[in-house]
Amino acid sequence: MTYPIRLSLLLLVSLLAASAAWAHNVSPEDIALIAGRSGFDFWLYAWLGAKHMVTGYDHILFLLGVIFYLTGLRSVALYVTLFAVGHSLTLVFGVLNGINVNPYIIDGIIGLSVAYKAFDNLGGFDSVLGWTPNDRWATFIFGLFHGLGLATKLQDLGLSEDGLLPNLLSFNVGVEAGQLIALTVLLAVLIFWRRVDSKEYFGAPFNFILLGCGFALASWQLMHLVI
Amino acid sequence: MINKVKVNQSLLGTGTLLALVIGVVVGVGVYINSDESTVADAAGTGVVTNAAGTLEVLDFRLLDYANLEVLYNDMGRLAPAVDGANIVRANKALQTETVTILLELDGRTEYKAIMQAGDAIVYEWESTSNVYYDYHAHQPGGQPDPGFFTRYVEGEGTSDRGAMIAPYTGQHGWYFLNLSDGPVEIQLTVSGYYDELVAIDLGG
Repeated sequence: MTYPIRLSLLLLVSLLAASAAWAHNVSPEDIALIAGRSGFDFWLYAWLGAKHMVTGYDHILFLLGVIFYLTGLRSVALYVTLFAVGHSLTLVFGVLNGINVNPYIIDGIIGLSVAYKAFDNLGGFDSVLGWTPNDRWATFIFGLFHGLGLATKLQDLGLSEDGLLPNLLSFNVGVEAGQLIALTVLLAVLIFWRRVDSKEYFGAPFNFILLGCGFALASWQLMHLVI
Repeated sequence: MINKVKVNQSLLGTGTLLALVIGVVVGVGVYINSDESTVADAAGTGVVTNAAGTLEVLDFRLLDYANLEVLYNDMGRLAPAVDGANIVRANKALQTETVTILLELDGRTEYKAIMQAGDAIVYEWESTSNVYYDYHAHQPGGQPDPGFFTRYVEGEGTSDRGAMIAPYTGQHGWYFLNLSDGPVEIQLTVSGYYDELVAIDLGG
């Protein structure tokens, strides 16, 4: 095996081991936090939203895939905004209409979105199909799925009807704040990476790792449906 | 601007296949090896969720007096419980209702308390003759799927009493079916923190 493949295998295994340790289902603590509460509470819901985004490694991995090969803050802002608009739409629409999709299916699709982006970053679609799906549409559409996942999790907390809309918007504000925090860290890491690896020797191995993580997330989630 | 790499086709094929195989093996392995059938009861609510998404109510937490660390202070001996355990704090007024339910021969009905997750009630019912009862709960809109419900307890008899903390927001209550040879009368009393007690039209 060539060096990049060996390195990527090693990193893949360690990353997956780390990611498996943080299951991000709705935690009993969060249910207890909301239990018996009703009425508008900005900080509580903003906190939950931010926490979900910062600890939701599937969202983070997708975001990392999206910005991996972007150059310039303007394009980063554009893609992140597309993603944010996508997930905000389905988050708000999903909760207000009580849409509760099976979380394992949604989390499976979110896992596949990570794999999709990694494959795209490797130029895979161009190699295989001779054609690459539009990046902006893909980011927006996967944003819609991520939002459905957020909507399902928020509803699983047992929301009170009282103050639903403002609480929901607070949650969304928290999600975007959490995303900005995560984005800042990711950008710092990527900028450092590009300094060290200016010839991008590790770009391809890293995206193979990301691809493996996406498949692992998807198969882990979809296993819940099988057994 | 996007400045992607383009890896050659054989590396793409090998790498993708490896990522797929390793990813699936790890994903499936993690699922099988992790005990996802029970999530730790960190909130101390006595409620856990298993892999199928159904809720199981654990034994209520009892204090293990023999192994408690006992603190002494000027107020006497203080044996601390696990913080917050065994307590349900309410954000609504205490209510008590008693309903009298008449069931004809072979009759059936359902009474449900509409409760938010974390609400708590104590209940008691008594019937003049034998009935089948199924104390259970549904989530709003039949989530996560239309057939889903949580059964707390079912049986046959003439009375039952207890207390319940709602594991999720929804309808929590009793299906009664008359098993006796004539009409029965059931007196149901619900007391505690809940939104309302409603009769459910079972149709037919």
